[in-house]
Amino acid sequence: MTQDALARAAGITRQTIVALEGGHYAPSLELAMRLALVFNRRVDDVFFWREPPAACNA
Amino acid sequence: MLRIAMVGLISLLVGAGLATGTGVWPVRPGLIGLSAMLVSGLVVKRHWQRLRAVGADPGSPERALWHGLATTALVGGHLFASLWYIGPAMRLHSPLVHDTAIDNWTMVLGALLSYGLTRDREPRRDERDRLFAARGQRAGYIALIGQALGLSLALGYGAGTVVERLSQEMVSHLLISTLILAAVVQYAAQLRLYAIDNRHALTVS
Repeated sequence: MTQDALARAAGITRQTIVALEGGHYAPSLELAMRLALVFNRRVDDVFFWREPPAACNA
Repeated sequence: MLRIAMVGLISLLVGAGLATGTGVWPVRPGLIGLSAMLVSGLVVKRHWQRLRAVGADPGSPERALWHGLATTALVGGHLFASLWYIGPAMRLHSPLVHDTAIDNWTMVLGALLSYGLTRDREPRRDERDRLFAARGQRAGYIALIGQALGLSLALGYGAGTVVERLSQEMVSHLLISTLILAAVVQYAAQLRLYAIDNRHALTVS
């Protein structure tokens, strides 16, 4: 799936897909859910921490 | 960042330069400004079309911001310089002020026409664009408040200086100038956010 096709399917811009893939834009919960819906996956399958921040380990 | 500053500064200087030609040059400076906007609009449109082919073109809001920065700074530069040349005792119904106004409004027309050239035919915006717009508006608001405070102090406590000689028309044009400058600050601040984001994307990919 191309970035443009994914952007159209989720109703956002291709530039936002680029920003999300780069890992420097945190989507809203609504957008995360819409993207997960496009892939027919759960949100935590699509968005997850590689390394949880220290504050979450406690 | 440098590109944003250059576009803003060059547009301001070109606008200010055009103000020197009112009633002097054989061609109306307003028409020169209008032509410059149309030509640069066409050039930028072709540039973005080439970038689109490689998937690196700016989104609809970013395009509108580049256009807004260049044209608002050009019209603003012309207005600021014209106000400087006309002087504090400005009167609306004089040949020089009429000519200046015609030139300035011709450039506003050029800004509208060039927007038609550069705008995205399939405009799309999302939450990221709205986030950047909110931050840009905050910067514009701060610029506006800062200018309003400065102008209020100058008008209130500037007796005995040049402020005392300001005509009613000049005061109203100074207020318009603050709006134009605030808009330029807002566009530049928003474009800076896109630039930071794009730089990150290039670093990661």
